[in-house]
Formats: sequence, C-alpha cells, structure tokens
Amino acid sequence: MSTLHLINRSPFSTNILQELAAGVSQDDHVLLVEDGVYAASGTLLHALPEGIELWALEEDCVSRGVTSSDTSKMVDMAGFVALTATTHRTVSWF
Amino acid sequence: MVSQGLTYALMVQGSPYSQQASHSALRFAEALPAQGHRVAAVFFYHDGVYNAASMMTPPRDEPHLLERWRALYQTQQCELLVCVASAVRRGLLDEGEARRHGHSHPTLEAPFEMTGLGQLMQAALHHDRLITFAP
Amino acid sequence: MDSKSILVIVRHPPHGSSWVREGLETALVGAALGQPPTLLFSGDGVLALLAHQQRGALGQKGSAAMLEGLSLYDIEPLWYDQRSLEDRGLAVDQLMSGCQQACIADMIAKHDVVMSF
Repeated sequence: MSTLHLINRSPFSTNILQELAAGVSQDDHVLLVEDGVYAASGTLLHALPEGIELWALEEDCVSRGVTSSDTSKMVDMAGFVALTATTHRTVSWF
Repeated sequence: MVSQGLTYALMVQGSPYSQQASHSALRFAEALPAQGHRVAAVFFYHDGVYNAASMMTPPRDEPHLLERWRALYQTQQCELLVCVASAVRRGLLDEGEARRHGHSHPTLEAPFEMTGLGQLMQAALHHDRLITFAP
Repeated sequence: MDSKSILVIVRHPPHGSSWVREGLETALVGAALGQPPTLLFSGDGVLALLAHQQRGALGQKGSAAMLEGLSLYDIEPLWYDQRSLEDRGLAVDQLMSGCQQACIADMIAKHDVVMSF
C-alpha cells in the first residue's frame, strides 16, 4: 500500500523536500520530474528518511543536462507508468 | 508486473506552453497502452483548461498540444473533461455556454466536454489511479 | 458509486492564487456526492486557516467563509500540519475554530486517492 510522490519543482526555490520528508512512509517511492530533477544532484535528498526509493525521470534529466547521481536511480516513461501501477496512490507536490 | 490493465484518470492543472504539465501528462498517457493500461479520463482544472482552447495555433515547429489531446481521445477513447467554472472564467466557452452568454463563437469544441467537479470526483472514485500533473 | 477514501491536500496560501478555493470546491463536491473527503492543510496551506481574514481580490467569496461552512457538509475537522504552523511562527490559537493537528504521512497512507491543490 505504498505511495508514489511526484516532485516537479526545483527544491532550491521551494522547501518542498522538507515538507515531503513529513509526508513519506517506509517503502514509499519519490520520483523527480520536470524541474524536480534538479534535486538529483546535491545533498537535499539526504533530508528524506531512510527506506524511501528515489527515482529521477530520465527524459527530464537528459533535456536539462542533469546526470545521474548516487542517491537517485534513472527511470524512463515506461518506468514512471510502472511506478504508478505498483504503488497504491500518487501524490503530486508542487 | 503486479497490476495489469488499470484505468487511469489524469488531472491537468498546468497551462499549455507556459508549463511542462500538459506535455508530461501527454507523454505519460501515451505510454500507458504499452503496459496494458489506458487513460479513461483527463480532467482539466485551474489553468489546465487552456489546453482545450480550440483556436490554439502554435508555431509549426512546436508540438500541437490540442492535436495531441485529440489523438489521445482517438486512440484511447478517453473523456476530455473541462471544468466549466475554471473555463468560463478564462474565456473558454462551448457552443451552449457561448450562446448563453451572448458570444458569437465557441472557443472550446468536441471532443472536449464542459463538466463540473462532480466528474472529477467520479473519475477519481471510479478509475484505478488518479495522477495529477501540476504547474 | 465505488467507495474510496479521498484526501484533499491544500499546500498554497489563500488570496494570491485560486488553489485554496479550488481545493475547497473539490472537497464540497465530494461531500455533495456522499463522499466527504478528508481535508488537510500543509505548508503554506495552513495560512488559509488563519482567523480574522477578509475578502480578497481572487477569492470573491473569500475562502475563510467557505472554510467555516464545511462542517455543514460533514467535512471536519480541518486538519493541519503542526510543523508547517511552527515554521511560520504561528500557533493553533491563531487559527479559526475546528482545526485539528494531523500527521501528514499517516493521512496519506490511509487514503486511496490524494488530490493536491
């Protein structure tokens, strides 16, 4: 019964990740999309608790020149769809 | 894959060409059939209602989002539901609303439909997933 | 109609945009259909709960008046995130009546559908 959390805003212009940290549960997934992928590098994702799977949408990373990091894994659009299917609900943070 | 053959409702709240939301929603919806799923309803709310502007005329070398929504309607038989309260405020009127408010031309046409928030709630309750694409 | 629990999260402040009004209208329609959603205010959304607000430019009807009427439609209490309140230097006695503290993670985990505004 886990949740997929979608982040589409740059974490440097909002404190969305801090708020997200209060909203995630063990085994949830966080997917960075659009300007959210700017969170993929840097240390802001470390604010999230342990036991959360972190993903970044590949096409939004590629278009922005964001390369993969140790903290999040790349997923393509098919992977995005799969994440919405295997989790129980999706929450968009914007 | 755990789940097969899910029906999806999408809520689009972002304005076309200003934000990536419409584009992301279309990319996502177009990727559903490959995994046996389909989009059953798209609900346009907030500035997302501009996606239904019937006179949308983007430059030729840019994606035509209105055409993409129409194509989605054709291929996945999804409802394209536009929040009437958000739309009328922003000048998007179907034939009935245009006539009712004394305007000569509608600015919203089929396959987009004017609906209320009840339809959003029905879509959220009836379909397997609701995904929000926000500005 | 299928029975699913719905959570409406409001994360934007009132007056400057239409998010609060749109979130509340969505919640009201759910109630009218016999499925009153849970309503949660988090982040800047807690600012919608401040007492003594006036009508503003965008919310012609004023979202405060809408909020006060929600209990008539079985949408109660008005759940808020304590940390968001504290971060903004606010305390619960500055909010309108009918507010109650929530844990966001638990709220999300126990609802089938989440709508964000």
